[in-house]
Amino acid sequence: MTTYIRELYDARDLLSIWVQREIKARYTTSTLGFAWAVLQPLAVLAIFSFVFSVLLSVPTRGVPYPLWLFCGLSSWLFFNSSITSSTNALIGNMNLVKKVYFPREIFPIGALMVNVVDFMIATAIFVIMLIIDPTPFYPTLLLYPLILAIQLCFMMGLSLFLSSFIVFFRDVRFIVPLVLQMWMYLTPVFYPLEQVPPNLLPFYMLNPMAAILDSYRRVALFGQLPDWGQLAYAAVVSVLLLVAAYLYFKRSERELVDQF
Amino acid sequence: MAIIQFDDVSKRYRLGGAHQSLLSNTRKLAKRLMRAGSPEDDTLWALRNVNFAIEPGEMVGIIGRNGAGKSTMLKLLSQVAYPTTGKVECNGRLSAMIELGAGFHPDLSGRDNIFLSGAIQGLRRREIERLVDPIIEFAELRKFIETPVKYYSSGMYARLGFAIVQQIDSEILLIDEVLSVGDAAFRRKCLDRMREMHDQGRTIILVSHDTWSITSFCTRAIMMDKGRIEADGTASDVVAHYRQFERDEWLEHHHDDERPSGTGDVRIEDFEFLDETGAQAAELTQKDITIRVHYLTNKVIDNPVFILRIRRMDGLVCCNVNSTRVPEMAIDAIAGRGFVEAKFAFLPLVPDNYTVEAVIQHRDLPLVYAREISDNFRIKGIIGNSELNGVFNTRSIWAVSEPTKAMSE
Repeated sequence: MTTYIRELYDARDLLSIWVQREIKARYTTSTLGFAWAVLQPLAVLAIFSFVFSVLLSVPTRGVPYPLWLFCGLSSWLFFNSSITSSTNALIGNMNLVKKVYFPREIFPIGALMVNVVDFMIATAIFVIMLIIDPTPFYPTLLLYPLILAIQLCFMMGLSLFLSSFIVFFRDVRFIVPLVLQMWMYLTPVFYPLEQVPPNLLPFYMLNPMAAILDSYRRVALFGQLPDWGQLAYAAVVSVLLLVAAYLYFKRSERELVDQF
Repeated sequence: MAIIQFDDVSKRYRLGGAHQSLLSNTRKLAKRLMRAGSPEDDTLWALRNVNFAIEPGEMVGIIGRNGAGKSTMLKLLSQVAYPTTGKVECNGRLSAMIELGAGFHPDLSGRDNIFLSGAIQGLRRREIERLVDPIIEFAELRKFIETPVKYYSSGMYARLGFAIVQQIDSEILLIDEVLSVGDAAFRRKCLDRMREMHDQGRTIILVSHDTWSITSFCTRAIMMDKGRIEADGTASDVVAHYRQFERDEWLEHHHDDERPSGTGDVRIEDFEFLDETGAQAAELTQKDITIRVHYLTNKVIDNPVFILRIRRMDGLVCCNVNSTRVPEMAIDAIAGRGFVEAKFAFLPLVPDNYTVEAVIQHRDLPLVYAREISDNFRIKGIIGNSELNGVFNTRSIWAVSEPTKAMSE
């Protein structure tokens, strides 16, 4: 494991150049360029706010619905787009995988980092919303980075596993979007955790993203501490997944190229 | 100590390995269980028990037909793939020039792609920053370096790709068919640069179909066939073996004279290129060249005429000669084994690689008896050796009106 990490560290310049290339290529080819990183989440925010606040009036304990929604939505969009793009990161770059050797995890990790940029923009939008809204900046916001770190671990683990697994089982290409969609409905993105019937809650909380999104809202909007038990569970699952996925990735790395 | 060592290396591929689905896997599994006795059925040995060692500073050519195992060997060398059994050892930094421009992003500028490509080859950002200018210089692309590479021609792609690799300070350089792209001037620049790198003590491995570039460039060659080493020795021996091998193969498959072009009554068996002393050579000066074509007929061929077309590598016919109006060649028939030759007292073609296409046809009827294309041969210049543009060059006598006088008046 340490040799893998050292090898990855040696390739850090490649990783940063690779990410730069992806970001540049992504935004220089469209007319509106970086504006898309702002327009996309705002559009989703607008339509979800309309449906779940105006039509369905989801309770949010006094916080304006758009602000409440965006607190979880931005993280979910980050999760969703990262998993989607990193799953295809290896098979989309077969050309290179077949020709030159460098640590293959550059591909999924790079895909994930490209989405970090979008997430940072979404976070900036969230901060602006917080400034406009009378909701104060609670000191519990300091826990935000910790929750984000757990989410990143979880995403990285999933990315590493899926990007490699898909090479051997191409069906994953169709399964991932489907699962992500169902997953969104089983995560408190546009309804609060309190809406989940208590007898179902133990099963519901098996999903680490549930604890992660709930924790974001607690620390940012209500000045509460996270539910430590739930968050600790999410953290343990994320770290274990990351380690297992990385080992799986490196083990299957040798056979990758023979599959193309 | 050898810089590269293949130790009883074999590589097996599972056929139909790509695009697996759960369904097809289950089916395959079921099939395998059904006939458990023959697990080897859907596998292919791309390499089988390959042994060789390359010493530091060697220039080795790897030759073989498609499917002989060359690209598998390249993948193992560059550590993209791993052997099924055996061991590949590589004791030095290796940079590979495989498929020029692999890793370029079409929407990004040439400059951005230099960084990307360099990083893929293992360079640090700081190293690339230092090398960017020499790379642009070598590629002769300064004017277009900020242009997205999707607007580049394939020649420009190739120039940029080679320019990057040649700057990488690696002990081993792997080159795959690079000589087939780009114009003649660029090819020469590549070759010169590779010789220079060899002189600096670097190990170079060249994979090519092109026998000329192997004989003229490498000291040693390895010929692959069906995943095994067929021959390993000096470049000229191995290339000769390869040619003989191809010819034998051809004879085996075409003994019924089922040639696609020509009636099949004549076979052009061999080409010989003779220099001014009458000795056979793959590299000729522009003076006193003889091209000799050996033929074999299986019946009497009436009223034959012979055509020789000298073609540049891009296919352009640079010279076309024809025996129709040559009095000595007004022959009624040929039969059996023989040869025909054309002598060129002065063939002022620009120094480059050429092939000869020989055609034997009927004098009056639209009847082609045989058509064959030779291996490459090379013209080296005796005049204007540095002049690489155009198709031919010739001595020119120059004059100038007293140049200083006009100014002083």
